[in-house]
Amino acid sequence: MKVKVNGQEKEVGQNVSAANFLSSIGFDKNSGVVECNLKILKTEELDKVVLKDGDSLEVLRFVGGG
Amino acid sequence: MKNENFERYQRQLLLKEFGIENGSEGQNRLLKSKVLVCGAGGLGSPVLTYLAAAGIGNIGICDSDVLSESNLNRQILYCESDLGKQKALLAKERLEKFNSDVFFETYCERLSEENIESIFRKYDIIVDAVDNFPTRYLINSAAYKNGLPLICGAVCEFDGILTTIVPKEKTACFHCIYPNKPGENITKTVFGILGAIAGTIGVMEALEVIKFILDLNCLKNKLLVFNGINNSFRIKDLQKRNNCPSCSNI
Repeated sequence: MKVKVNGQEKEVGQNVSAANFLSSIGFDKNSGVVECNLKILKTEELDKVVLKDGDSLEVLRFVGGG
Repeated sequence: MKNENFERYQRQLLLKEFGIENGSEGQNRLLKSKVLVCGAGGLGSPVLTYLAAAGIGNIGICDSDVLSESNLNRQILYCESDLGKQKALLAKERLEKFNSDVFFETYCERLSEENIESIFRKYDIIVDAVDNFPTRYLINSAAYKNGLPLICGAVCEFDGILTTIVPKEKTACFHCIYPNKPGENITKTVFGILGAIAGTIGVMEALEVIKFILDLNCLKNKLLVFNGINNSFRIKDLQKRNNCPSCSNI
């Protein structure tokens, strides 16, 4: 199945949690904000959410320096 | 605009948005604007330089730090002989020589709940160019509460972000972008920053200020996400959050 990550399509297997998927693309779940279908996911929710075909993820790391 | 200034701004007056066709209305707007730049470091250096170059009439410079050697890879307003001196004062001294049309005021103090509103009150537009999350949330709340437009840019490693927040149009704020505040794994870590990455976002912050003053297309309800490794600029739509602690009740 396919999900979108920051607007780009990615292949994902069945029954993959958001946390496992983010880990597979190298995103540390404590390093930013994750939205799934426009809903913010709390860090503790990422293990419970199982991705579905067509889900749209927005992943934004914390950027606060200057 | 005074006639003697015409030559200085001649090349931007050729732009119709500024411009000769409408009697220099755009340039006059810049000269009458009051912009506060919070942070005179890696972002603040290019922001201040390009705002002064464009002819913003009144610029506030707020930074409590003195210059250290590790600043010099990115804070391009300063020289080796400036080490140990107050950055806001150094920036004022340098920029006054660069453009004497501009009035500069300095604030060599850390922004806090106690001083922020009295400083913000003197300005039309605020630029967030600070280096830490707690001050960013503070600036965001105070700007929203006081109805002041806020140009917000930040960098970390090879990444940069940029947005324009307009309280009177009830746009999404910094707290809407990052509703879950970062933990100590982020706030206590010293991340790498390359001068050219801070420069890219700082220049774009200055451009957002100028476009805002000229009523041009700004990043309202949009977040520009830059990655310097992939050479990518992505624009993400933002949504104001109904339960945002900083902007939902204003």
